[in-house]
Parts: sequence; C-alpha cells; structure tokens
Amino acid sequence: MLTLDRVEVGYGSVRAVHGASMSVPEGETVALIGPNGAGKSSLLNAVIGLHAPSGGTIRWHRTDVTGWSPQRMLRAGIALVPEHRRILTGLTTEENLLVAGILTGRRARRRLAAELMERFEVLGRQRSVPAGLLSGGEAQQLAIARALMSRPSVLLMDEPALGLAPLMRSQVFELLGELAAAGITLLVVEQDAHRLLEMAGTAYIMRSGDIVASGPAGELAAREDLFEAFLGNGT
Amino acid sequence: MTVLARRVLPDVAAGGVLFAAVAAIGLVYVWGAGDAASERLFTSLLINVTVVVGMQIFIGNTGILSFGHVGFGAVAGYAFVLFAIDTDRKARLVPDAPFGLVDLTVHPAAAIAVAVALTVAVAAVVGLGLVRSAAASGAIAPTVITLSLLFATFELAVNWTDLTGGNRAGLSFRPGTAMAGRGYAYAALAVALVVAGIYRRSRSARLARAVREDGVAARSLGIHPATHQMWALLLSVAVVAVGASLRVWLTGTISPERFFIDYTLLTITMLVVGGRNSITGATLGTVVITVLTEAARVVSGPDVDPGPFDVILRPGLSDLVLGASMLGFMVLRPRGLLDDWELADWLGPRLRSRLGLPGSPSAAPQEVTRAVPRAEHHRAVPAAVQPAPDRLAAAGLTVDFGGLRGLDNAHILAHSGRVVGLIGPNGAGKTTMLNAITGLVGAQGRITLEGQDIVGLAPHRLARRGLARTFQNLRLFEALTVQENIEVAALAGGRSSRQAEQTAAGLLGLCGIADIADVRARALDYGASKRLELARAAAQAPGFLLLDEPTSGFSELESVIIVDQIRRIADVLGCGVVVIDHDLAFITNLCDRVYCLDQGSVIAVGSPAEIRTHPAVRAAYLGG
Amino acid sequence: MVELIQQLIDGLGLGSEYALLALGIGLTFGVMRMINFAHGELITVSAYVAYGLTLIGLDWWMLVPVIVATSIATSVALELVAFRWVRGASDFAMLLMSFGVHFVVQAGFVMYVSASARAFDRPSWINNTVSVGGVRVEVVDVAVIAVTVATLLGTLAILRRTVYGMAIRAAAEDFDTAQMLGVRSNLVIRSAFALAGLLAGVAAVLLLMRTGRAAPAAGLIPMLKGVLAALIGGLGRLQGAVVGGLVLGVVEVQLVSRLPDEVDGMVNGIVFVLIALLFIFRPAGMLQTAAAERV
Repeated sequence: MLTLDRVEVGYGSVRAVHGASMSVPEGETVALIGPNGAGKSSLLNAVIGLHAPSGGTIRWHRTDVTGWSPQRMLRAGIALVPEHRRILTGLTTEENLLVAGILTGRRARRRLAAELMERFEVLGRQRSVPAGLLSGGEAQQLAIARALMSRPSVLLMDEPALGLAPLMRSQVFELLGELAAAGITLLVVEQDAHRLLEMAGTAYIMRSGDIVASGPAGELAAREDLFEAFLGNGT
Repeated sequence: MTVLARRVLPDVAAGGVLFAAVAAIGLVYVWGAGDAASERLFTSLLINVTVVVGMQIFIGNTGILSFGHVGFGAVAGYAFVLFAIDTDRKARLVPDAPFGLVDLTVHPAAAIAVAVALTVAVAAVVGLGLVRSAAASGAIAPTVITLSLLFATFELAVNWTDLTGGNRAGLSFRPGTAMAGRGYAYAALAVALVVAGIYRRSRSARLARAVREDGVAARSLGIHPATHQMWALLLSVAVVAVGASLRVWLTGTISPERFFIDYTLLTITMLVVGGRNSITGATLGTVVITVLTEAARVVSGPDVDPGPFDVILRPGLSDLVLGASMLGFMVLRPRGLLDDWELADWLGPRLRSRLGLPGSPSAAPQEVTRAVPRAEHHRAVPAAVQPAPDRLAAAGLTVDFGGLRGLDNAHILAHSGRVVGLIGPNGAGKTTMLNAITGLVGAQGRITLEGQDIVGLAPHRLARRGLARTFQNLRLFEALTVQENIEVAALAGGRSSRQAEQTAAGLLGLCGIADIADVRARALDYGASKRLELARAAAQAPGFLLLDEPTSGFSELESVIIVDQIRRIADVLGCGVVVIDHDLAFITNLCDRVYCLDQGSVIAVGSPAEIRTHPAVRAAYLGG
Repeated sequence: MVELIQQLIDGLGLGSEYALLALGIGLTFGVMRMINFAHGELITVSAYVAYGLTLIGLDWWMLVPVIVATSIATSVALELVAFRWVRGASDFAMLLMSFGVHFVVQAGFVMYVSASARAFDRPSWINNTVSVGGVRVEVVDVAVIAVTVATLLGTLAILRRTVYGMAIRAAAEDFDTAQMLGVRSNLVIRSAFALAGLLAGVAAVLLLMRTGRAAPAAGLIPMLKGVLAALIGGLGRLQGAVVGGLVLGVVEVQLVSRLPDEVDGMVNGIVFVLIALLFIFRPAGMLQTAAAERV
C-alpha cells in the first residue's frame, strides 16, 4: 500500500500541490485525473523523489519514504513512466533499457533487457536504433519497458497516451491492462478519463493543487457532472 | 534644478562617493608607506578600477561574458603609446613603423583621445559580429569570439614587430617620465564611475538588462537586443581604452604579455567577486582583490623574513591567493559580494528627502492610483504609440517540429474589445499557436493584423505592431524590481522615461501590486509574479493581449481576482484578448468566443455555452 | 600528393592531442554544464610527474602508466575539492571556479618547484623517421595517431558498452531523467571526470614525449586548444569534440605550410580569427543543427 498524507509540493514560489492525500492499494489500478496544471505531475514527481515534497508524508507499506532519492524508491520497487516519455534520444533502444537497469547486476540487467525486447517486439526489432528515431507509440512502449527494468511492484504513469494517435492510445491502454493483470500496482495520470476510469478501481480528481473528489472509478465515471468536475463548475 | 540633473543626481553622487572612498584608501596607504612603490601601486588600483568599471558596463548590463576587453585594451594601449612617445624613441624602438607614425607625436592626453576613437571603431566592427551571434545572456558564442580575438590580438602584437616592438622589447616611454600623468588617472576614474552610473540609468541600459534577464520575453516586448548590446559594448570599450592607455602611460611601458590572459582573468575576477551587476560591486571587488594579492606579494617578498612560515611565504603566493579567492568567493558568494546592490539606488531616496526634492512617481501614495476613476486609468496607461490594430486573424496555420505536427491548419480570429478563449487538452497546440502568432516559432499559413500579413516578422517587430503576451512558465526580468519590469515594457513600447513611470504607477495600482513596487521580481511569490507579468504585458499598450494560462497554479478564488483584473485591463486599454486556459469556469466567465484545439487542429468554435456541450470537445477532453 | 599526405599525417597527429583533450572537456561539460578551464592542469601535473620520475631515472615505458594514473586521480580529486561546490551554479561562478583551480595549481608549482621551466629527457626514438612509399613520416606521429585511435576506441567502448558509460551519456543528455532511472549524480559526474582524466593523461604523455618540458603554465595553451576544439565541434556532442580537435589540427598544419613566410608567426593568430568568424556565423559550432528554441 502506497499512502500519501497531505503531501505538499512547491517549486520556488509556485505551490503546485496543496495537500494531497490518497492511498494506492496493492494490485489495484488507481486513476488520477484533472485539468492541466492541477498538480498531478508534480505529485508523481514528488513521490518518485525527483522533487522532495515541501510537506506531508509518503508511506510505502509501513516505511516513511518521504524525500527518498529516486534510486532508493526504485530499489523499494516504485518506478515512474514520466510525462512526455523523456526517452534518451542519443542512446539506442537497448541502451535506454540497460541504463535503467543500472541498479541491478550486469547479468540480470542483460537478461531482463532481452526479455523486455522479446515482449515488446517493436523494441526488439529496433534495439540498435537511436531511440530518437522511434515513433511516438514505440517511444511510449520504450518508456514503459524502461520503467519495468527495475522490476517495480508499483508503476506511476504520467499521461502514457499523451500525443498519441487513437489507435496507439488503444494499444497503450491494452498494455496498462496487461500490466495490471500481471499484478503490478498502477497509479495513472491520464487525460483520457473515460478509458482510464473503465479500468481503474479507485479514482481521484485533482484541481488547482487539491484533490476535489475521490471514490470508486465506476461511480465517478457515471456522474453526470464529471466533465464539470474535470474542467470547472461553470459558475 | 532641471529634470535631467535631478534624475542623474544619485548616480553622480554615488560616483563621487565611490571615487572618494577609493582615493581615501589610497592616500592613507601612500601617506603611511611614504615611498614611490606604494604610489605606483595606488595608481594601478585607480586604473584597475577604471578598467573593471568599464568592463562592468558591458558584462553587467548585457550578462555576456567577454574575454576580449583586455584585447581592446591592448589595441588602445598600442595606439596610445605610438602617438604619445617622442619621435627619437620611436626611431630607436620601431624605426620601421608604418603609416608615418615615427614622425608623429602628440601630447599623451590627445593620444588617449586618438586611442579611444580607434579602439571604439575596432569595437564597432567586432561588435557587429558579436551581436550577430545572437548573444543571449550566458551564451557561449560571444565568449568564444572574444576569447579568440584576445588571443588573435596577442599574436598580432607579438608578431607585428615593426609596429609593436614585439614580445621582448615592447614600447616604452623615456625612463623617469612614467608618473607624469597621474592626475589623469584620478580624473579618468571619477569620470568612469559617473559615466557608468548615468549609463546604467539610461533607457538603452535598462533595455539591455531586460535582454540579460530574459531574451525571449524582451524580444516579445519589442526590444531589439543587438542595438542595446552594441551601445553597451561601445561605451564599455571606450572606458576600458582610457584605462588601458593610462596603464601604459603610468607604468611607462607596454608589451603583449601585459594585456593578455593574466590581466584578463585578474580583471574578470575583480568584477565577478565584487558583483558583476553592480558598479559599486566592481569597485569593491577591485579593491578587495588588489588588497589581498598585494598583501600576499608583500609578505612573500624579499623584505619580509618568513621565519617559520617559509612553507607558505614564497614567491607565487599572490597568484595562489588570487586563485584561492576565486574558489572561495565563488563557493561562498557565487553572485558576488554585493550581488546587484547599487550605491546609487541606496543614496537616491535619502538624497531626495534630504534635499526636499519630489520623489519619483513610484513614491506617490498607492491609494491614489488604486482609487482613480477609469478616466484616470486612461491617462495612466497611455494609448499605443501607433494606432492600435483591431483585427487579428490567422488561417491555415501549420507548425512542424521536425516531423512532429505542432499545429495543423489551425485558425483563429480576434477583435479588439473582445476576449477569445483557447482551450484544449495537454499538447493540443495552444501555446504553439501563441508562439506562432508572436513570431517565436516559424509557421506556415496566413496571420494578419489589421489585414496586413505578419507571418515571419521578428518578435520585436510584432510587439511594436501591438502584440503583447505572457508566458506559461513566467518569464519575468528577475533581477529587476516590479516597477522596473513594468517600466521596461513601456520604454520598449517607445515611451519616454516619464511616461513609463506614469504607466507603471497606473498599472501597479490596477494589478494590485503597488505595495511591492520595489521588490525584485525573483523574490515574488507566484501569485504576484503572475500579476506582474500581466501588468508588464499591459504596459506595452497593446492592440492584442495574448495570455498563456494566466490562472495556472491559482486557487479558484485567486482565479476570480485575475479574471477581474484581465477584464479591467482590457477595458482600460480597449484591446483584444486571446487567452489560453484549462479552466472552463474561467473561460466561461471571461470569454465572448472560445476555440477548442485538439492535436493541432481547431475542432470546435463557439460561445462558451456551445463549447461546453459540444460533443467533440467532450471527446477530446474525456476520451471516447 | 606526397606532401599533402605528409601534412595530413602531421595535422592528424596534432589534432589527436586536441581531440583527446576536447573529448574530456566535452564529457565533463555534458554532466556538469561547466567548461573546465582547469583541464590543462592535468597536463601540468603530468609534466611535473614526468620531470620528477625522469630525475630518479625511470624509463619512459614505466612513466606512461604513472602519468595516466596521476591524471585520473588529479581529475577526480579536483572534482571532489573544487567543482562539486559549484554544481548547478551560474556560468560565471563555474568559469571562475575553473580558472581559480588553474591559478592555484600553477601557483603551487611556482612556489614549491620553480617558476621557470624544467626540461627532462625525451624518449630516444622521438626524432626517428620511417619512409613509407615515398612519404617520410616521423615515428612519433604514427605513434601519436595510433595511441589516439586506440584511446578513442577504448573510450568509445566504455561509453557504449558499459552501463557507466551509458549513464554518462544519459546524464549528459538529460540529467533529471537519468536520475529518475536510478543513475546517481555523484557516480556519473565522478566517472566523467575520471574518464576525462584518463584522456588528458594520454594526451599529456603524447605531448610531453615531444616537448620534454615541465612549466607551471604548461597546460594553458593545450587546454585552450582543447576547449576551442570542443566548442567547434559543438559542446556536449562527444563525436563533435573529436572531429573539432582533428579539424583544428589539420587546419593549423595546413596554414603553417601554406602561409607565406612573412606571416609565418601569425598562424595561431589566423586560427583564432577563423574561430571567431566561425562562431559569428555558426554560434553553436561547426556541426550545429537547426534547433528550435524552447519557449
């Protein structure tokens, strides 16, 4: 269980997250939705340790992991698929995977990379290609495969379908389903709320740095005012 | 007292105080030591302050690191010496000197003038290349160019022996005449300090500092960087040329080594250690470094018995001290001892109140500007210099980012007096559209302002035609105060200093930031930063105000306040507004018409109510 | 034709040294965004090590590993005591820091060894030449090129085959993402400095074999050429640094042989003017590609 208790995130004078509390039970898929600038990415970056939260606590099982470095979080089994994928364009597909396995031993790293390139065929076919040449959908697969290199039990995913064509989006959602079925806990930020809520167990809605609604995903999806909750209540 | 005199009073006074401080330190020291060596040291301090203050004019105001100023100093030094030493000596040292220089001699003071003129001419040519390299603050190209030219000048001086006497002999005055010009060193320092101070207050310097802080935002305000960087360079080189000439005169000799990498690094260290953005800092840095290195030189010299401290008191210690102070100061005070604190700014208000002079408009009570009726706002925010355009249209707008489509055949239409909203999911191309319209990214298609095609115009030209914008990620001029940020925008729009002050006073009130007018932008909290950015854009008195996510990071309540401010500004200016936002409540409250973008194309246009119920919009946001 | 080949070999020999230094400067720039103007100090330190060891009669073949090891250790040590304090600081602070290190090292040698240059024995074969198909080449040129190629290939192998090399490349491209993937910043920065030290050590060996001279400012000009080569190739592009170094060397040699005798001494001056012109017209270096400014 990953638990966030009144987590605050600020960058200099910007208060991106005001005090977000949520819990991500093991094996479940949790959706985090909301408009641009609501603070979703900031929250995920704070969890993985790229920016230490300015307040609140983050717990993984019973351990307080607030302010841990990304290396420690990865070792603890939590990985992030970042917004915009952040593929290392100067490295090949395979090198992107290997670098992400820097915390594991050489043998295990190579074996895991080989496994992933078998599982993601397009990556295997282009293992020696500079990753900058991959298409958007392929790059997204690489970003996800890269996160799997640390054998995480929790994957934080920041807009995995961003900027993809409709067919590619469907593929990404299928992949999310497979990962969930394989027992990986997912915390997903996504614009495509309908698709995400269909597969998620619990959902949180964020606006302007606050969590404004939460509940079983099915119930939230059925709410007539979802669109308004998402984009402002029109008053 | 004339307006001009009143305006520059603090700068002249600060120059005087700094000059007196340096002179007092020196005179006490010379009187105490009482030998010729101490006087030579003191004159070299005077000259170094002159040179470093000269470098500050360029490096401080533009943020461009130049290694070449000492190279310009070399040009000046040789020009000076070739005109100043008498013909007998020239016939002996450089009998084959070209251009008939052997038979030409003028008084050293006149030779300084010639040297300055020549060096400034050289700097003008070099400057054309320098500013062409798109010299952004911290950019590497101008630094490489100036470094290369420093070395090229050195090589030229070493090899053109007919003119320079080469590396070993060099050129020198008749022995014993060296200190004759010491009065000029005092005068030069006083003038340099005052000139740097007055320049700092000038319109061109203020615009140059805006470019230093954020080149993109500056261009979007209508500032043409190259022009102001060029002026800074020419003035700076002129002051350095005077200092370099005096350095040759008062030491009596010049050789290529004396104006090369060691002196370059010494002067740059003095400037950066003191605080490169401040004239006071440049002066302080020079004094501190001089005192440290000279003290090291004395204690490690032959006159001091090292005793048990022999391990450290050896020749070379002063270089060690110089290096160690570079390390130490950069670890402890990376922005310099004084950062951008300036004596003139501290003196200004105190002098004014002491002399009973009226303050600048910023000192006027804020309540007045807050409470002024609308007609007063109109005066506070003067109309655009050019007649404002009232129709902005784009059609068939396409932007490619190396294979990635940023915009795909998008269109938009905005009228003055109306507010147009631009919404769409993350990555839909909203900001790209603003960037395309304001000339920050290249686009295909048609963009017209008042029927005139404006595609491909540079950002600063578009700004002058009446487009003002804000940025998603706040591009404020961080080292400038709130008021200066707004004034710079007004100055860039072609207004006088006085009008700019009035504009700022009006907008400070209108945007509710009058009480923080003197705070530096980097110290503001997020909300105030956003309001300042809005005020800065409004200060251009634009025909169209393009706002990129003005409420992002705000709570609902704060958003309501911002809506109100945007309305009031648009009302006062009578301009059109194009606003990007993700907050539909905000858009509904503010906009007359809304465009929804998805994947680079416009998928819906209509009134806010129509957009809310449009199926394509719902699908774009929520998925199918 | 023969002459051209000879000049080309000369130029590549000279350019090899620049390339080794430029690559090191490019590596450390990649991970720290700092142009290391103290990179030349590795050569200075190596020169004094060579001087000291030849004094006690060590053979050149023994010297080589010691010089390289010293250079690596010095490079890492400088990062530990100096550069780590200005990580992420402004350009001005990093620049002054690196020049400060330059001054301190230089002053150290002035104070504790000598202000004047010290000469030491060069390898005995240094002036030997061989003739291949009418082209007479100095053995040392061939050795320099061979060693450089081997070193560059070795570096390439480290950067491409080992996960630490990949981490350096990853961090040079996008430090945040590298960290997010588990790369430790201390580790990559120190690896980069170690690798840069290795390259500088090899460059020092090649240089010192020819000059046989140790002086407090011995590293200044090689450093400057290395920095310029890295800039010419486009900072942060590792292949660019190598290309920049080789181009700089070849152009210099060409200028020496083509310029009329009267301006012979001006070769360096002309090279500097050419570099200035290059950066006026291509502010991001020779290999720059059109990159849209991020707004």
